[in-house]
Amino acid sequence: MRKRLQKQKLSSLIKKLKEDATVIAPVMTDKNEVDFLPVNSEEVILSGARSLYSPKKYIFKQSESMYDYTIQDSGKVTVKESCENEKQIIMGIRPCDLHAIEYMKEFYSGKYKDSYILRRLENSVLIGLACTEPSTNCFCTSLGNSPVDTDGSDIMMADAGSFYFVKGITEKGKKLIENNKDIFEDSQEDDERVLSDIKESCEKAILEKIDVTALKNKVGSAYNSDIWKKYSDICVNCGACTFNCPTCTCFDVADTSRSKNEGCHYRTWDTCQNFAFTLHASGHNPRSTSEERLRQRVMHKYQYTVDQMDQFSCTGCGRCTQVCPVGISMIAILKDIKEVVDNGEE
Amino acid sequence: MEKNKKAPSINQNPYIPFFGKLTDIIDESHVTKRFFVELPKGHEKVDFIPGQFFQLTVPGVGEIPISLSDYIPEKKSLLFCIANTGIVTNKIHQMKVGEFIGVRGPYGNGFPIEKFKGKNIVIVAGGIGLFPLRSVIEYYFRNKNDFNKLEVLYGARNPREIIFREEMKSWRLKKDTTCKITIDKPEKGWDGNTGFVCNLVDKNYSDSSEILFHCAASERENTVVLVVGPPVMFNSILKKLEEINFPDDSVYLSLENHMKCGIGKCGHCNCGSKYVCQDGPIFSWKELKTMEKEY
Ligand code: SF4
Ligand code: SF4
Ligand code: FES
Repeated sequence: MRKRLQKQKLSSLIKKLKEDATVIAPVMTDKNEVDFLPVNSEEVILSGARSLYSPKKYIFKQSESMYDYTIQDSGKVTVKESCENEKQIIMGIRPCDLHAIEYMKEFYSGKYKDSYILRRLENSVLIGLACTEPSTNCFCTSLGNSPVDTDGSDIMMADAGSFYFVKGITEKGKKLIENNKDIFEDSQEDDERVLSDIKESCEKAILEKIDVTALKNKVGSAYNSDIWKKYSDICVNCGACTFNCPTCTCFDVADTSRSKNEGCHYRTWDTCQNFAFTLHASGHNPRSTSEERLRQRVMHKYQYTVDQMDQFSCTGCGRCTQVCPVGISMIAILKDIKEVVDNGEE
Repeated sequence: MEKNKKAPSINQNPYIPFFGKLTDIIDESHVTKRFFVELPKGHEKVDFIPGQFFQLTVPGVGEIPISLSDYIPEKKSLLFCIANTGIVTNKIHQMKVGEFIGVRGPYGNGFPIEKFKGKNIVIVAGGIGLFPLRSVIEYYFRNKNDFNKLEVLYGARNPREIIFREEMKSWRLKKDTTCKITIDKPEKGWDGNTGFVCNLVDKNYSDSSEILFHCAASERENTVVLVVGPPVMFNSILKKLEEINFPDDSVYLSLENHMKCGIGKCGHCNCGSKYVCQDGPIFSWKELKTMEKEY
């Protein structure tokens, strides 16, 4: 299903969508950063490079209640599962973040299904946006991704000048378009060309390139190399890289009481860069050094999830590099890994 | 219809515990207690493999992984042996009979017990490492005909920390079963073995393992060794087994990585490409050799 959305119609679309769902899109915050927030039509930013923060927090919440408990007078305990059923439409999601959501969807499925995240995904419509312009840290093409990938989206949009080219990808997406058909216009024969044009110009503008796909299944060989120390020596273990990474899935679980008999069991994002993350009850710590923890972050993205799920869990969004207060660059690490791998193969 | 079919998968929320009543609490050593948890209606049947663990919750305090020491189907109850080592276990130690505790599980792979049939089983445990192995020992006695001999090699810090004292007395009296105990340092009133538990698998030690060192070679070849204890302890055991060229695919260990969710999502237990909570906690020595040393 192919359509056109005239740019001046965007606000009426958002208004319409807001009637039965929360609409979330990139906006400029008062800190002068682009972030995904619930919007009113006017301020949406569907141009420029990807946002500083990813929309991950609308699928995997930074902190959320898992259930409430009540201890009865008899001593019996009852629990009430936290169950969000609000519909949300997330708009302007760049292809890298769509890949990240696809990854999360698979990761949180499997033998045990994470009800909270999968339910939220079921209640979400994901509207992607082709990337016309990379940020200075972007390296999606190095992972074999492209700035116009549609994987993971329900609807894909691309800026075509005076209008957006709109493509319904899933049934859910097509239904949304169908329900609002008077806002959209029919597309013209060669509208789809905008995607290949954007791909070409955006890919050309990407500064960082290193063929990570060629390193698939080989990154592990750098485990015992001495490249880690160079970075861990300056790393301050703040965890900013992991908290801003759209594919970091780790969390901590805790209980909190509101009164003697009531409270909730909740979780929050957690980071493998924290010393206490792996600390055993006995005091022993399998990743006690900053070096081991930095290596864990990299190995997990480029080797362990390849072993487990046959895919990298890095999208090449470059946010970890962008937010690192001491300037540790993922691309620089990958270049070092490549050198180790290449030397090993000689 | 379509919707109904899809719904249960997501709505079967694996993070929600059921609550079981504490029906009995028995002091074990001065820092450990046994807790019997009654399984509520709808949860009476537990498909359990020795070596698996449960997540226990004290509402308002927190959740922790605890290995199951025994499942007693006749009484519809679970036995957990718990050392008082942290905030949650401390709270559990203060609980009284009649109170309710949250339970979800069992999780993890457990010991590949089917593979042990027809073999001798040597159990090596340090401290509270014997707790999870109790389920193997109970399984052995319940299915005695399936197995050969059993030997329990146990090391405690001091006589007051010895667990399953009474059981060990009765295990010793059973056919084909031996138990050896050692405490870390000599102490007044203790006339048994002293030194670390790895001594018991040292070929030069006077009271070393019967099955490994004082039986026909064919017995040793038909043996599996199960080791549970902290890494410093099992590394010293593995060193001794290395010395006698004991095959690495006949040794199984339980890893104690920090866990939060038990179901492969929170990431805390991650060790290389494995999640200890799901792919473990039991690994063969052979597997362990291929893994990153992050346990
Ligand atoms: S590791 Fe860095 S570049 Fe890769 S997805 Fe995470 S934040 Fe983006
Ligand atoms: S953002 Fe940089 S300094 Fe902070 S933990 Fe990550 S790599 Fe280390
Ligand atoms: S304990 Fe959460 S992933 Fe293993």
